[in-house]
Amino acid sequence: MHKKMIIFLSIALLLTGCWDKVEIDERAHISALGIDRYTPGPDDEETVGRHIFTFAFPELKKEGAKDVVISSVGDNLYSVSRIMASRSNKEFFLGHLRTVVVGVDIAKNPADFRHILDGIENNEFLSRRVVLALTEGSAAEIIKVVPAMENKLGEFIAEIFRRSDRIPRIVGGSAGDILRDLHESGNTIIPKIVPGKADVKVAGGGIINNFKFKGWLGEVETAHLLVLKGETKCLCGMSVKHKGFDIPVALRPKKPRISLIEDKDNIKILIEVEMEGDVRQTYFETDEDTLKSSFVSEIEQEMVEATKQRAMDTINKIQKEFETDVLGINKYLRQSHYKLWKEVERDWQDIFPNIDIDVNIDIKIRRIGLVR
Amino acid sequence: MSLWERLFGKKSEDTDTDIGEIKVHRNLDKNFGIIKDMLKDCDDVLYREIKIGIEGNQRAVVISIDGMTDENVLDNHILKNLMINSRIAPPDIGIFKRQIGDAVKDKTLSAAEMKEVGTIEQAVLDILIGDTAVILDNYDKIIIVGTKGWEMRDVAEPETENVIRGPRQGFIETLRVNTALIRRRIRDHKFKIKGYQIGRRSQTDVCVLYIEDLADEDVLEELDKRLKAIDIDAIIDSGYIEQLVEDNWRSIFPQIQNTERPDVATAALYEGKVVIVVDNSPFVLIIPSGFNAMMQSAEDYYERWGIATFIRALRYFALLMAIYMPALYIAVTTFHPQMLPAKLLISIAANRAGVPFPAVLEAIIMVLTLEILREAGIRLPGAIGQTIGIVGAVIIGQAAVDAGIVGPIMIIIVSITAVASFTIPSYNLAIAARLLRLVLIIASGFLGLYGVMLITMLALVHLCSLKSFGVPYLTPFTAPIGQRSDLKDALLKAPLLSMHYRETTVRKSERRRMLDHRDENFNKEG
Repeated sequence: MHKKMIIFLSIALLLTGCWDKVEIDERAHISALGIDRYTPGPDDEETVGRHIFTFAFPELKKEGAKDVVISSVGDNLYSVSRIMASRSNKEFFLGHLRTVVVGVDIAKNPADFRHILDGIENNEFLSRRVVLALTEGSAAEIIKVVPAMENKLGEFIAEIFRRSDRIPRIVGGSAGDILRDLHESGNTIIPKIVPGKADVKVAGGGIINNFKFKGWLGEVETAHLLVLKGETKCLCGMSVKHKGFDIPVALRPKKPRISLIEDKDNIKILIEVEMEGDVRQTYFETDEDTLKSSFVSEIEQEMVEATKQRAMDTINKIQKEFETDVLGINKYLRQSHYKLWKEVERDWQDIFPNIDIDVNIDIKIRRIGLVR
Repeated sequence: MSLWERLFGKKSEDTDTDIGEIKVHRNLDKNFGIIKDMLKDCDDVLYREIKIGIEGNQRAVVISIDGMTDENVLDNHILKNLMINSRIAPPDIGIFKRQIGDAVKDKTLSAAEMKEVGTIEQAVLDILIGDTAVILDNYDKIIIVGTKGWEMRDVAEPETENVIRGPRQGFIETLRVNTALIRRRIRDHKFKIKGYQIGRRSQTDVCVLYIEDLADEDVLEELDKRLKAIDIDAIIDSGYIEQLVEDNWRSIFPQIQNTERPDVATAALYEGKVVIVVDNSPFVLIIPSGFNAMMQSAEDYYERWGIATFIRALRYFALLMAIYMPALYIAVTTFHPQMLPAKLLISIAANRAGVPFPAVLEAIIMVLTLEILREAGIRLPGAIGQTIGIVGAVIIGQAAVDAGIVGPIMIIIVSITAVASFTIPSYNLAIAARLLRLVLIIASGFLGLYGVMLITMLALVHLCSLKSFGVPYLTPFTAPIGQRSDLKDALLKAPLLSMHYRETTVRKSERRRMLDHRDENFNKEG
């Protein structure tokens, strides 16, 4: 009995178990990763990889720690992180990677892009909540930025995204969501990131159609796309021209209602969005009586018109220019009108640009600010 | 024979000496000679040769031990009666000649406790216990008078198991005082005190206390068997009895609860448990006792249930902390850093940077330092002991961090662990937790969380198989359906009013402890 137990224990202790013990201060906790396309020079050997990987990890200092940035050329994330071990006194550890920035050049080539995406998805250390972002220029540029507010870049970007439901112009960006969208339809929108001097800006998004980059969606358009998809809680920063003055109104949209309108010729979709709004200011010594219901309803009316116009512009751009269903109409049809979806599923790529999408916006002003 | 058996198996040996039997002789000198020979070189034995009767022609010897007898009884009720009072009132000479024993025993000696023994060995044993032997000429028995009385410690507040609310009495080293302390709390003729004398040479008094219709007969029978099987030269403390009767001596977990508090012992008796009191030990044993009993403090029952529940849950949490904190820290930092939030990770890593040892070694150094300090604190005299505690904890810890030998977070972890382990009410369970903690530290150093889980499973398997006198150690957690009512007094402490039943370890018919005679509308209004 005891002999058996001792044998079992020794098996458990000696043959299994993870001998990957590395002290916490002996790891390089990669916080941000940039991936760029690499064009081999004439002197390069042929075996050199196709991408440049730029890693950032924090220095282990008690005060004033900055990021250490190193980069290497290679084919995929796994082998590069292995190769890097020979250039560093620390063990590369991806468990705390928060941000992956991909240069748009990679996204323009579907084969390369899929290669990179699988490298991200297949790495067991990478959380599904890693932020995946596209940049127009070089991803390494972004990784090298030292933000003034928080000198660890990975953390900085991750914190921006953590507040994304309060910032109206950022698409979700979590790798899990993006990968799921891509698995389902090959289409998605990936947040765009722009380097600044001592910060980075996240705004707008890159449209991916069938694993290929199609084009950039602007900031305002992104904000309205998010409203139409019901993925944001605020639509701030919008204003309305009222009698020659800009009056800012903070809007809080509800989840939109999508419905299929009966129509023989074409698929017709109606998206209805209800929003609540606050008038944030008017102008000094105003002549308006903001307490009057006529003022409120005027503002509401003007706001509806402006918002609807911008929403329609966004839809137009998505449909006509990008021909990519990032609105989630495919999901809606599959969930609620499965029969119809089965008919159109194969050709959805061609059908989507031609369907009719109408938007119905209803805004109620709830608060009018301080009144003298 | 396997190595294991050879090391720890049962060994059969011959008992060294067997005490023979010498009958008491009718001749005083012969008896006296034998006893004197047996008690040769025992300089604390007092022999008093006296003559009794009107003419003083009846010889007698009074033997006692100096320092163990109550001199008041010896002087006033034995010697004075035999030597003076027996001459004042002369009995019938004829009867006196024929029945001298009865005359002395029934009419002369005025002590409460008295008996006759027929063998010299028994008489000597009684003398050694502190009684007084009266040997008469022409009489084939020896009269033993109960004169036990010696200097003893006062009944004082117990040093361990302190409570804020509750009785301030603690057991002392004298068995009779201890049983009296319990008897005072149980005025029931069903409360029984059964005596044993264990130890070939020490002949230590051991008493088994139980309430007849509550205690489980099987437990009593088993205990009787185990106590009678003990054949050892001496029992110094109740710890000897504990180790000799417990179910599994290989286990690191204590299977018998000990207490210094009469109220705890009494409560256990009312629960149908059995209490063992050992002479010369202020710690009494409670059987059967499980894990649950050792996590309870007397105060839980004296304070209101809300705070008792909170504190009890806190205690279990502290137990988990005391066992797991260092192991989890090592596992998470060296094997699974992705489990830490990024900011915490950076802070831990930055604090650890420059520490030359791996986390597991760091933990072992600190835990061992702490254990050494604790041991030193116990050995040193009171005032210095506390100083050493502070010096050790504050100065050594701070210096170790400054010198870069250990990280500051490890100091925090080890200190919290130490503080948490002091919340465990039962000292012997706390020791088990300390041992388990060390094992877990090593396992997590080798295998990370996998090792922690491995040891946890082994410990749980072991705990589940452990029994204390037939009662599963983890009662009531292992069979929550059958013992649902026991759960009211486990992790939580239900209000006293809802605890109608005793623990399920008592006899089924006697489970009900409390009846509810309150008015139906009691407490309903307002």
